[in-house]
Amino acid sequence: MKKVIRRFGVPLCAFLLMAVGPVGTAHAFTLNGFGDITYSSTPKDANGESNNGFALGQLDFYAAEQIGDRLDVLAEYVIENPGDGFVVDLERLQVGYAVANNHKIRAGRFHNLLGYWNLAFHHGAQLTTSVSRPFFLEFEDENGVIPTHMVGLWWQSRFEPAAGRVDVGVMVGNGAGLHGDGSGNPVELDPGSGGDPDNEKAISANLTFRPAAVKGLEVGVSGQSGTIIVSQDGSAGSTLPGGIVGVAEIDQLLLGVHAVYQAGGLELLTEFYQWQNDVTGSTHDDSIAYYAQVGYMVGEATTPYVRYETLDAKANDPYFQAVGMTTGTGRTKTITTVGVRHDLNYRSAVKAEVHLVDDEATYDGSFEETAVQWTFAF
Amino acid sequence: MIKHALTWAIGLLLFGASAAWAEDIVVVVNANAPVQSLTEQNIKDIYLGEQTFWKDVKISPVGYQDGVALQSSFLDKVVKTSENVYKTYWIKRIFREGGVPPSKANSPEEALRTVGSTQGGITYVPASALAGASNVREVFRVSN
Repeated sequence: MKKVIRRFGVPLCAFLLMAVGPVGTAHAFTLNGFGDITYSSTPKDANGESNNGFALGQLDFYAAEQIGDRLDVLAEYVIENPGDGFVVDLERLQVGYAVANNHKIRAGRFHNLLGYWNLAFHHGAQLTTSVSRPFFLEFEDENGVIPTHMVGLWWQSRFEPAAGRVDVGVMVGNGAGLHGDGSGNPVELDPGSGGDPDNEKAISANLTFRPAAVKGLEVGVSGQSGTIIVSQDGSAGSTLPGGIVGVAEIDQLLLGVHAVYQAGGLELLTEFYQWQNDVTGSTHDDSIAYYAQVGYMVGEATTPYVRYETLDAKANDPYFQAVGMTTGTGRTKTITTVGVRHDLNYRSAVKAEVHLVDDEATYDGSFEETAVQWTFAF
Repeated sequence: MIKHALTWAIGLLLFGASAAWAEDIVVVVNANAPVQSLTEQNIKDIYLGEQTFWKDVKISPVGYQDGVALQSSFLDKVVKTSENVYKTYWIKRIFREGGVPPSKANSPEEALRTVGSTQGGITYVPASALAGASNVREVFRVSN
């Protein structure tokens, strides 16, 4: 995957040149971005070793431009170091056409329409109150278990009845895949940016409501349906994690609900997801995940917060077997996070948090992690 | 002539000052814009990027450079927010949905010229700055 995305380095250079633009160019892009530097302490592994150190987080460049009365484009690149050198990842590239004031169609690569966090914060650490994302909402190339990106078409409409504001979105795009490295190791979720392995398109949709009577409240439902092709690269017929042989298809229906309240310094975020993962001829139970986060700004700049998040992956769920989360038994992973964020100004913040992790799959079951992060927007 | 010059000089002093705004603010649109009047909510939606068209005409809002007292007062009285919160809002909005924020004029005179030459143009200026402006029409007034 990383080798594949390295090829985006050339378009990134073009993107940066375009963003800066020659002097006097009338329609040069304005380059904006986010970045973060994080100091973290990771837990002891099975050998009793722990690690702590500084790390450069994601350096996120994005540019948006109106290229006509009804046309706009948005491009977003992220430079990150997953541990084996810096790579460039094209996160979003979209062109949109405003059909009418409240109706827009887009084509390109987007964040899909699941939940709230995935659409609200993207890769901008400066935008999140906390240092970390809920672990089950991590991106595909960071061991995420939710398909967070989609390549295809996106229709978005807004309606404004007296009761409030209703937003409806539908995406149709390439289905996701799970590709192994040929060694039987857990596989990485691929959102299908380079093509659709099975020609069957995935659908993602959401509906959100912001009542006029309660300013700052948003409630929503969302879902994604698609077929996930599981394959072990370079060795068709080999055994995949979860005992899947060769190539398998998992029919996935992922449903979500969320509620958010942000007003008067109070931030309440909560999301719930349920997976229905089917492989023809087998029975299975549904896996679930959810989180709830509460923060309150004290004074004008300091926000203490707490978050509880959990994933309950069932033993016979073929999807979580394939991604290596479960191996014969079910797995419940829970993280309780306590932290504080201090805004230096509207473009920069310092955050610190402690994770209390309870994970049945680790050698001692529970451990602590700490992280301190300095984020900025430019 | 001298009167106009004095008015502009006073306006410029007030425009650049960081003290509270002390004059009516007038919201104007291009004289050919397909809109007769606007409510405070309409204007707020436009400056927040929530409304982008009048019928088939693309709306082109014009604001001012950061830290200008006129802008701070407009944001406070019409958009009901502070300048920092407004800037943060646009950072988030562009990042999430794309689009562009209101363009930034260096002075009310420049803003009026821009709006006068753009069918979907809209801006806000001190009431005293309207004297002599052409091809623009007042659609809303914020009393001090």
